[in-house]
Amino acid sequence: MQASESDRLLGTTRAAGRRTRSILAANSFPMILFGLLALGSAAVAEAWPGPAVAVWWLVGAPLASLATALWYRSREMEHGVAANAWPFIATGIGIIVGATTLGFLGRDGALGYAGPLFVIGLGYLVFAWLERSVPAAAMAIGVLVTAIVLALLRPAHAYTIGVVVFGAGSVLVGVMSLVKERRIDG
Amino acid sequence: MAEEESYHPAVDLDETVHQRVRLGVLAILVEADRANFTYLRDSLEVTDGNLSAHLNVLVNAGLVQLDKRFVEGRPRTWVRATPKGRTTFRAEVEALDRLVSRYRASAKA
Repeated sequence: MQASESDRLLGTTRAAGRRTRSILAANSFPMILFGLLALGSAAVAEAWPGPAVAVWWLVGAPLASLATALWYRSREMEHGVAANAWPFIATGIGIIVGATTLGFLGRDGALGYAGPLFVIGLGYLVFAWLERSVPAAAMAIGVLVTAIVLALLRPAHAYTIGVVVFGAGSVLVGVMSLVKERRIDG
Repeated sequence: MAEEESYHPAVDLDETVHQRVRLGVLAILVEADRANFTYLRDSLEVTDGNLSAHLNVLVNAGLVQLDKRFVEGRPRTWVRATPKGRTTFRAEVEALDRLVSRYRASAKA
């Protein structure tokens, strides 16, 4: 009797935890926003080679980060449940600082495009782990592999290839998350 | 050996949290940093009074803490698990797992 009651208790307890985890794993907005930002940077890099793409990121990344923080805040108010934001903030700052530093230090070589892409891949792997998101982890690994391949092959338009892979992957994962969020939000 | 045979996992169950609503509250708060009263009430399908009573038990045991704030002029109660609450929840789930495993093993035999 006690064991079957315990079995039921375990079931309902795990269901409550799973539902909360699903709500907190929502990442459609930042995934789509940063994906579009990356795709936009590819267009800028092709149209205006030179420092324009650096300006694009220096202005766009902080604005997108602010919009993301506001989106998570509105979800918190809407659902009444929130994750600890600090690991996400620390990872986001790590990506911005790491990618900017490597982009600046390696501006005349492969490090300039492969380095930031590698940092972004690592950062997204941390995000995927925090959110327990398999699609985000797969996308992050794809970005890491792309960064390594670009560093080794050094093809023409390497920056554009890298950000298009990242941007398209991010938008795709974001759309998948959006479909899931709509289902959960009912 | 005799000690092992006489051991029953039910002795590891914690009377404070071995209850559907209280364990549910901790399950939610272990996944999240914080949840508000309305989310807990709707997720666990209980009344306001019922949830308040269970939260009081958890607060008195030092397993959760309440944070009452005004948001847009309305009172909102946010609930967080304490480190003790997180540890107690994990220990309880492990004890329940052991109990259920033992039950299933004996049912097979």
